[in-house]
Amino acid sequence: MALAACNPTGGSGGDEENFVNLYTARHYDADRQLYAAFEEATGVAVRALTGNAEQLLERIRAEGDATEADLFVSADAGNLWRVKEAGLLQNVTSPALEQGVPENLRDPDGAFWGFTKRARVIIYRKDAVQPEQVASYDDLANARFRGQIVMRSSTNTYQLSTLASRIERQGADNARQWAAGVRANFVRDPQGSDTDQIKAVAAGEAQATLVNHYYYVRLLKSEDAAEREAAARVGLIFPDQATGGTHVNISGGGVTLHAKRPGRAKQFLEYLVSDAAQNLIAPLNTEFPIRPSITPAPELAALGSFREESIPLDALGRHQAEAARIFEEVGWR
Amino acid sequence: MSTVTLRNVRRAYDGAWALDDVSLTAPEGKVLALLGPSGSGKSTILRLIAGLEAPDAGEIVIGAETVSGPGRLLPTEQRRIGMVFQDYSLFPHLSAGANVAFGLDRLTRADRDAQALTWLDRVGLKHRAGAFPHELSGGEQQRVALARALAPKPRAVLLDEPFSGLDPVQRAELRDATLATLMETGTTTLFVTHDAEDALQVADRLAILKGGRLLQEAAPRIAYDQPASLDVAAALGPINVFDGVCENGVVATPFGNVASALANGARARAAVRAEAIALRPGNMARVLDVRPHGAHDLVRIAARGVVWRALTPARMGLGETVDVEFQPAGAFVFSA
Amino acid sequence: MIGFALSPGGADASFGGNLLRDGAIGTALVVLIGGAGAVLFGASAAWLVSLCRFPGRGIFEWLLVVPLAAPSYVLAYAYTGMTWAGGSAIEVRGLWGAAFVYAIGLYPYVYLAARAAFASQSACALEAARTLGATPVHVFWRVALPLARPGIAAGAALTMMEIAADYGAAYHFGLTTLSTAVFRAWYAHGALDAALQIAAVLLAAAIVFLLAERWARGRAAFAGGSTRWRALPRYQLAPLPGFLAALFCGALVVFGAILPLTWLGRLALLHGDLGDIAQPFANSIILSSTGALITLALAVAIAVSARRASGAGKASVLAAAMGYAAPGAVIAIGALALFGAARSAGWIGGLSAGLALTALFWTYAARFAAAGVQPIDAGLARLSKGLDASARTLGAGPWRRMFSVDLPIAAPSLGAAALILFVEILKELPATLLLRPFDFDTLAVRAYSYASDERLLQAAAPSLLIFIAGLAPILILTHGIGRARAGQR
Repeated sequence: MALAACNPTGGSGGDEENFVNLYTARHYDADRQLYAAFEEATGVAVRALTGNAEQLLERIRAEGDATEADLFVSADAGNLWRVKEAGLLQNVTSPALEQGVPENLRDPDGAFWGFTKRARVIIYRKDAVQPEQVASYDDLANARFRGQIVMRSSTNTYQLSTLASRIERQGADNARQWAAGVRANFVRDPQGSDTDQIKAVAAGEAQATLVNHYYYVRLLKSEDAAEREAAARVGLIFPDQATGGTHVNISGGGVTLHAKRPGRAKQFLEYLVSDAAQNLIAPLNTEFPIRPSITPAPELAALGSFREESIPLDALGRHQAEAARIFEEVGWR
Repeated sequence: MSTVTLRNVRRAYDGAWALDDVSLTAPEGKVLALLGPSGSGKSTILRLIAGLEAPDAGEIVIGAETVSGPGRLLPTEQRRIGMVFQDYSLFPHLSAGANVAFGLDRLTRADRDAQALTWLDRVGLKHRAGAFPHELSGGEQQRVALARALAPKPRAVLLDEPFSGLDPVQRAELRDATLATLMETGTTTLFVTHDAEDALQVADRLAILKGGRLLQEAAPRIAYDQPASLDVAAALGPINVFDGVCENGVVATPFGNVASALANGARARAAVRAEAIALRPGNMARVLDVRPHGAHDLVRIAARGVVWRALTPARMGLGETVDVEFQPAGAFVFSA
Repeated sequence: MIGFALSPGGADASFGGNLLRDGAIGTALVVLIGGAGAVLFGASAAWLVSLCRFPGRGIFEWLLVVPLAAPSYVLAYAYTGMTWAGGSAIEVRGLWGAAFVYAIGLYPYVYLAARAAFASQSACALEAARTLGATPVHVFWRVALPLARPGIAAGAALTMMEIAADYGAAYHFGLTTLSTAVFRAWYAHGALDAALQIAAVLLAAAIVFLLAERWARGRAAFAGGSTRWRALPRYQLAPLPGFLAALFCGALVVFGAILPLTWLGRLALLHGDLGDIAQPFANSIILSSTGALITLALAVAIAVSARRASGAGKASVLAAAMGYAAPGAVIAIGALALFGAARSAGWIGGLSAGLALTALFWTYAARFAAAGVQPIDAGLARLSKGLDASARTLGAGPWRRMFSVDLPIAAPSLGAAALILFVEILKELPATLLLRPFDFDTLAVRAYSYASDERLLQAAAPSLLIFIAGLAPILILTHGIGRARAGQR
């Protein structure tokens, strides 16, 4: 049984049941539209169990070979790496995926594959800060911003991945100095969401923060006038354009080790990077498409193009524990 | 109905004896009163018989069956012992009829209801069958509790201070009615009270307890006339005490001599019941004060610096001097 | 559960900071401040509506319970949304913000317990105090309050354990508590074993706290007292104090329910589209009803066996209370691991989905039994020991005593317990999120999904519906308490 499961079947999954089960840590309405589109295109239904990535990992671990999950989906590479490390994903070979997903946005062994990407950007207050003053991540640690920075908690996986990428690129000591510097600039202890950080900057409580790009885009087109006004008061910077490039993360998925329908799971992954899905999903959640050839949504295109960092994606996972330890040491909870 | 027997029963709470080596018998079909002050262990005896507690030593036998003993404790619900609790403990969510029917669950529904009604009728409460406990007066609650305890035809019934908390008129009425019901049904009864009058009037036999020990077990008349100890004498009515010496078969008190069987020169304690003292004009003692006590007066008399109380029908005046006489049946001497 | 939490060894505080110490301090602070606030709000409000007469008293009597329907995490989102957007004079944030949200959202637990305690007080004791020359204020401090203390303490204990177990609001406010430390160790450090050890510390603290509470209560063992019962005469407040009393109660209702509700309503209207909310609504009702019944059965078993004074019964009360202090996700993971281990050992078979669903109901029972035990126990406390002994002398065995004496007498309390459990499970998130079947969303799951994606506008409608779905049982509950009091001879 385990042997068979480790041996992925061909692309179509033709003789398998006509549905595929997802454990997904993405909670987007967009995804439900995507499932519907997939079912319409292939006749294969998608059943989803949404949840928190770390908890879903424990569920799949406890279920062992009885699991009903065929595919594990998360909005962070570090989380996907943890599932892979737990030995709960299987390696997949697929020409369609290999062609569609750039090498820096997938697992080197083929255990998980990105299908959208997001950038970690700097948000600053337009009336107090010049864009040049926040051109790089380093600037957030600059003493000039003492008592001027708000940040989300480092329990959040996006913060961990941001620091993990820095450890990969510039080493742990540099990362520690940076985190300590940013910590020293805090207005207050971390609290609230990415959106709350943007609003704090807009309200003048702080001068800059670090968030995923799409939270800003969402505020821009919010149904709430107050939120649109808040977005108008702040600017967005893709940091490190002159140096290593802006930190990016992926939403991605991998076929589970004990998948009952590994063929269907692979079929769905391949669908996710297809033209149809890429054109559908990225605009819905204002994420960037994984394939450079696909045009992003207009409001994303308006942000301009940017240079993204190029590091092996599994680095985000490998350095995650150390990143958490550094955050702890410098008192950035 | 069955005899209930305790043999060398002991029971300790927190290291202190609540019952210390008590043996007694409640004869079949008779009423045994357990008399004693608070903490004498009388309620503990009921709880042990009911099986609500286990003795630390000794055994309890109902009929021919040992229900509590070394290595044996028959559960309460299998003992077939009826009990009327001090607070009656009627089920507040059940009507009077349903309360009485509670212990009859082995019968069919029709039989059960009929018997419950019969029992309520016996205690004069047939018309209250549908009433809930909080709608009944205290006396009615007590009668329902009695009917409920008797309905399952228990081998014996235990009454824990059944008449406390009732007003004096109700109390006397209820006591007579209860006794009548118990005699009519020939039920073996153990009955706990701290009221000597209740005990003397109701019981066929009397067990007097103090500090967890059985002082005397006897018929009421015997216990009253021939108390085994000063404590027993004191438990059954007010007494006067004088410490003296036995000389020539009597102990001389300031109020007169009490016959004694003790040896010459033995230290003795004379006890005389207040109601065994008769007064008439004379010069032996002086009247200190007089308080009306129903048909009698409670008179305090003094002689040679000693003050006694007498319960006497004679009307005395303050400051009068009197002669004192004891009824022999109410005067005792115990060795001191 | 405990064994599972304690078993993994080797984890230490090698995270570089002192997560455990900081978490313990944080938990102590927020539990004390939030708990004190809840006691202050709940006990004062209960006293006002039970013993005083002032304008609006009758309406406040049940309105004051309404905040119970709002999950702490929803209140946290609402208050931060209202005050963080800028322009607000006061910002609800940090330790004090969290304490405020807990106090205003959880005071109904104290209010319910205290009101029941005040309601069961005999007028005789209070009148006796008046005849001894005590003013109404003195009567409150020297008689009514001490008599109600066990009830208030029980409500306070529930509140404090609820605060200690809460993750959502504490995380949102950026607190380091034992609860957030558990998830920090787990999520950020990937150290589930260390997380479980921190959880074990939380449980140990809960045990100590409970034993202390019981000890304090045991020393002041006073039962209902007088057997004579008469309706409480309410003290007529003068116009100004009466106005202040109405203002106080009104403020609790406004801040605990109306303000956040209105805000959510506004967001929901802004977004307009409710989405497919009917199915999650139905799922919530089904899951909460089933879970409440199963948990109720467990709570009854625990409460009854504890009253029979068996050692196992007392231990199970403590175990249940511990569950209440444990974060839901931790119990859920424990249950999952337990069932997973049992399955791989071949003790139980079955599908993964069945396993998870079993684990889910197990988690509800373990997590919330304490919330049910408390009202049931209070109901059983009305049984005198004599009733049990009476039933025994009439030949009733343990089962018959339970079904024909204990439970019928405690029936109103059972109803109350079932309703509280329903609301608790309705609000429950982490275990439901983790262990529910495929394509089975509840309102709380929907609200969480949107909120975690920072789509507060979309999260508003399901949050509002949790509130509304919880309102019906809560209103039945308060109505029931009033009736029980009226019918009580």
